[in-house]
Amino acid sequence: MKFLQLDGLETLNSALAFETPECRVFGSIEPYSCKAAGSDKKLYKQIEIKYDPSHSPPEDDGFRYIISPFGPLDQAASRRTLFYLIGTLNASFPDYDFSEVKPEQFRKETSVAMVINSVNLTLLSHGNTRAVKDLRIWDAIDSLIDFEDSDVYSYNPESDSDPNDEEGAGTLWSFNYFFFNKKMKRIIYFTMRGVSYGAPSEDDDFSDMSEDDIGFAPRRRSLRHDDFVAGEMDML
Amino acid sequence: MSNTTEEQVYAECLKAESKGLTYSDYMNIHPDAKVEQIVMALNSLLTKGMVELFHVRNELIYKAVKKEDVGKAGNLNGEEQVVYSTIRASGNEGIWTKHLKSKTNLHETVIKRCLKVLEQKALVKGVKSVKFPTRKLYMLMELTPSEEVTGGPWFTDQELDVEFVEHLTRSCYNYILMKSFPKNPSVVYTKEYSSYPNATAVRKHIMDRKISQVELTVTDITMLLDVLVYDGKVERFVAQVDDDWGEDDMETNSDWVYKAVRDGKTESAWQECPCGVCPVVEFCTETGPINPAGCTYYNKWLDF
Repeated sequence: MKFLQLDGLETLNSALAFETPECRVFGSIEPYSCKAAGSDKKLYKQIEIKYDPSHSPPEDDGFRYIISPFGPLDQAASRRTLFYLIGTLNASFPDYDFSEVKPEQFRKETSVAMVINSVNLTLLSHGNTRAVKDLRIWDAIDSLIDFEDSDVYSYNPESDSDPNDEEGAGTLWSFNYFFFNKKMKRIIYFTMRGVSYGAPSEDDDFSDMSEDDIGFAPRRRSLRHDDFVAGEMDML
Repeated sequence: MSNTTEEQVYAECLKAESKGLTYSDYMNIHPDAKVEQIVMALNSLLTKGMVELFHVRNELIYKAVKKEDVGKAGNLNGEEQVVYSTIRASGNEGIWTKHLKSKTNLHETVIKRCLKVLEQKALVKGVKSVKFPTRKLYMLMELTPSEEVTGGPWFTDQELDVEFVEHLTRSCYNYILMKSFPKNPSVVYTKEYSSYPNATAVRKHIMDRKISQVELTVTDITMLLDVLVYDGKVERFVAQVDDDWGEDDMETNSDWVYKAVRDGKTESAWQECPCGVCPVVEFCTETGPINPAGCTYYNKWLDF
């Protein structure tokens, strides 16, 4: 999915990286358009082959694949939502490939209000009132995605599939929310994680560290070359 | 003249094998060699792809590239070469793109481009690891991923084949059970009985009966037998203790034999507690001569 460079998020994102007495918090809000780019084409094919019953042989027990947080997977619309979310994760974490992730690792949240509440609670309990009260992140996100028309999904992976939970990174908690507005063809990916002070930071010297100890820098998503790559495919 | 120097330098690199050759090493061997000639020779070898450059703790080390590998990396540009040799260095474990970035210090987009070229030339391939199913790993095209990456015989398509493992473990247990106790359930073998199976015997049984489609090694079978031991279903001990048995013999796995556990010792909690096996439990009351407070069995049991 294509990363969107939108104004106004810079300040918000810097406010979401802060320190508390117990941990360091890193958060980021990333907007994506549902325009498939580059490797997304391959991803779309993979998902279609895996979940579209017309692709699988008749003896196959397709039953276990049908029920999903996105609706029945034998419907193209459900598959497309799965495709957008996996595509967003792939775009946000270029060193990972989420194409094999099972739909059950996502969850459709009951309402935007509940998610807002939950995130506010997390921010507040970590002493950050600035993001919500002063910078008004929810107003900002609402202006970008229009909560009234959006669904919210969360990604709750096993620890071996969690890019926020790498070995040695000292992640204490994390969340991944996707605000998806079908009409606008847009997704806002809001992620946050708390990292213990014991974990190595980007200031440490890496040269003597073993492979898995490479520190976890705050995720600042800057524009990358492939965001402009030609050959996009409009899936909608 | 420079050709001979090149040949010499290359010969020394080959001799140094995996240790590699540093500039000072070469100077020690050929003290009369001229600096410019060595430098030119090294550069030429590097360009031809016959020698690789490593940067270890402020030293430059040159290693000779194996003959078979020389042609392959020939048509790659500098960055692609670096990516290719870093991937090659990871052997059959493969390397994660994130580590590739930090090792080569190249930018994300550069690496992406190089990987694309290398994949098109069929020099590298992407693989998935069972330990980290979402990481993007790359390794050389011709290598077979190690067991760490594929999970060995226990994994099919990145998923632990639980049924397969359970079925196999059960088969191993049944075989051991059969060899551990005679057909008549009321007797047991004497201590002279020496037909308890070892891992090799269990493996032979499994392979002969074709219980597993996949080829299994003694190490694989030993893994399953270990599971049985830890589950308390089977016990393991050393088969024969020779007169010259020493500490070193403890280490060899092949001396372990396995016997099924069938004592039923831990079948009931009542057997653990003194009351369960007490001969006078029926006379025991709170006020009588035999009472719980003054029970000798309890005293013994509770006396750590």
